[in-house]
Amino acid sequence: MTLEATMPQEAAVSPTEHTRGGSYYRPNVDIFELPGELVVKADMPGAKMDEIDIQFEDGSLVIHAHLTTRQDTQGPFSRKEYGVGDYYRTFRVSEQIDASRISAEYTAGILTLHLPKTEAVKPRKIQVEGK
Amino acid sequence: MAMIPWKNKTSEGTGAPSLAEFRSEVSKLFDSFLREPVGTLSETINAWNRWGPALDVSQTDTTVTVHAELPGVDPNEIEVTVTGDRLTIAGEKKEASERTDQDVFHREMKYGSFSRTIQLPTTVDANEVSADYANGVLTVSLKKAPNSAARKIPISTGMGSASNTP
Repeated sequence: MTLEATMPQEAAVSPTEHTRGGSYYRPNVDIFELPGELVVKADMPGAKMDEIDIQFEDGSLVIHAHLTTRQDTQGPFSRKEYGVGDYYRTFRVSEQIDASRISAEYTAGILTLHLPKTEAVKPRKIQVEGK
Repeated sequence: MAMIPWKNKTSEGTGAPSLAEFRSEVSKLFDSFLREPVGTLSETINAWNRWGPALDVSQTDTTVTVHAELPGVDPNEIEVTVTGDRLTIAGEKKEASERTDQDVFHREMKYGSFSRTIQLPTTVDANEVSADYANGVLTVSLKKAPNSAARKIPISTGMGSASNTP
């Protein structure tokens, strides 16, 4: 409907592109629609709540989480299957979203964004008046 | 130990004595090849049926630490089992029930049961395993089995053994 996950090339940041010495990872997201809002869930394991930054500007929503890269504190790695680094992803959000009321929560490695629809696009029942 | 059956099998086939050394090399290769892919093969089969989390494995002289990316999984739904040098992480990622009646229009996450079995770098003590789940990452801490640690074997140079050498 009104939300579109921008492709990596549009976002100018691909999943493991090296920028300014660090790597960005594009979190996997699920987007679904409820009657009054859109909900975005992003897989961001290992992030810290106070290091997640969400910005909304000019119709684009940016998720960025800072992660400290993997430290070899527990000895050398014999298997490294996932990357550890910042998460970054952008979304195009239409005017049908009330940007001032966007809220977010982070639980069990998943960031959940609530994007409330504006009053104008919310479904409503129209009373039919008889004369 | 595991080399023995392979040697026997080869010698039954040809029995050419000049090839003895070559055969022993080949059986060594076979042995290491067969030991390695067991883990990866079962992982491949797992991947067809279910999904498996990405893992990190690191080790010190005495410990092995495994990290698994499992965002959104209820820790009570995760099962960790250790047998010898095998570690299995299995469970289920459930979709929130509120989702059933709604319109999902973009989906990248995986749901359902997952299972992953890996071969650890060494045998571990199955009684000394702890697991912790935080921010979508499962950390399994294991202790290496005492007999698995690399040991320096002293070579005796006694007179008795020296006289036995041809």
